[in-house]
Amino acid sequence: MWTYEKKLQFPVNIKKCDPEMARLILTALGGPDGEMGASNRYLHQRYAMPYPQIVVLLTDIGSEEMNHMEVVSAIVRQLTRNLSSKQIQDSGFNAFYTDHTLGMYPVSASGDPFMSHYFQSKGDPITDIHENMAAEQKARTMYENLIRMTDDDDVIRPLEFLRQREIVHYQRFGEALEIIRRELDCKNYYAFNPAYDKKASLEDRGLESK
Amino acid sequence: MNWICLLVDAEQEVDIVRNNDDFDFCDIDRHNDDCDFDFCEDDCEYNNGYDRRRIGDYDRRNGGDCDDYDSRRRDRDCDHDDCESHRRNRDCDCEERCGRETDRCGCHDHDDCRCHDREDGCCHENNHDNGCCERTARCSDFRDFNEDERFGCNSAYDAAQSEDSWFDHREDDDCCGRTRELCEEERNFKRKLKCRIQVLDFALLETILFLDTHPCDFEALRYYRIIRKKLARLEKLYECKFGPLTNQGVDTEFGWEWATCPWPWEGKE
Repeated sequence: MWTYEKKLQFPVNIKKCDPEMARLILTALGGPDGEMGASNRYLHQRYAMPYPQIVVLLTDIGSEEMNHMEVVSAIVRQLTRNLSSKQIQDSGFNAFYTDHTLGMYPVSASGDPFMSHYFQSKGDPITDIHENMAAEQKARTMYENLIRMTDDDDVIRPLEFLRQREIVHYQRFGEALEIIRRELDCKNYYAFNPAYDKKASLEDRGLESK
Repeated sequence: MNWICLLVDAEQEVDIVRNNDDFDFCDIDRHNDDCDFDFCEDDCEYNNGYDRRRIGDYDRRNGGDCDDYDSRRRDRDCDHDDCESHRRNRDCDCEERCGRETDRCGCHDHDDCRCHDREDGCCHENNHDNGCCERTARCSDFRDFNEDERFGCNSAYDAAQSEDSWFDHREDDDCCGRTRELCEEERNFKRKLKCRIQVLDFALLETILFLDTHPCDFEALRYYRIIRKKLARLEKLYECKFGPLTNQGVDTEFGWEWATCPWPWEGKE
């Protein structure tokens, strides 16, 4: 269960419209390293995660990613306010406009709509945490690339905030990985698969499970 | 509206909290001294190298937290009676704040004082020309008024029938459905307050993520409590002055403001 709060996690007040930039920033919403994939990734991984101390982390970070979705959407919305026909026609925003007018729709910078292929939920703690750490780093790079594309401080400020959050999340997932390692055989971190379904495996081989 | 009233008619909350003679809530006081549950003992196998001392020990050593956070119960230096918290708190300084008799205060404990005046300290000048302390409907002590008032079933105010149309409210964003436009000073204050709330909200979230992987860091736990309390106060003030932050914080005296006050992505923060 979630509760909506009528405030952004980071304020967005953009004065100058820039439809070209809006089209690129949409990738932070529904692109391969976007917030929609991030939120879905963590919130879906929670259920099979055997360690409660990591379930809580996935819940909290997954929820924060929903805040980020709203911040990104606010940036896009404000960058496309009061556009003239000429501004739409002349910018790279024209293709998006043709399909969605000014509706918010999660697409990548290259125009692909959001796909759940962008994230994985493998049901294995180590696999999933590695996936998450990689995802945070990829998103950080994406924000750095976006920051290079604009010189509007009003746009850069929230993008920098979002970039910093990726770094903090990476740190927390790194700590989560440490927690999982502590649960494993210290001589065999990676050889031992903590989510391996022993019961099913033994039954498959005709052996009695414990 | 009647069917909603039917659904919530019975005073079940009262039954659960106040009128259950067979059950003593003090028996399940999680903070009771007699309880030998140490929440850190079992759960601190992982703390990423941080200290594993008990939070209670830390608080006691540091002279208690009475002033800093809301859980007086946990602090032995505080003479707060836990069982008393279900009843009215005689120490509540409502009288000083609102000039009303203390026993009108419906607060259930010291820190969550919901006396008329603290609520109405955020008086709505627009509607109450003669100042604060007019309303009683926000008082959490619902014994003071009847069922219909509680659930607004016969409320005289109906947003749909108000003079201004619903869409007019939407146009007049900053007024948030009010009849009078906010002056520039008020707008600035609103912006500042919202910004402060965002800062505290962020500090709290950051602490939450840290605590997820360092659950026994007593300094972080203490910081969490302090920030949470500050945030709750400012959120209350904001909702009083400018409109709801969540759909549970609507002051129905101004109609269904949840729908009318501005959305955060509109660039007014």
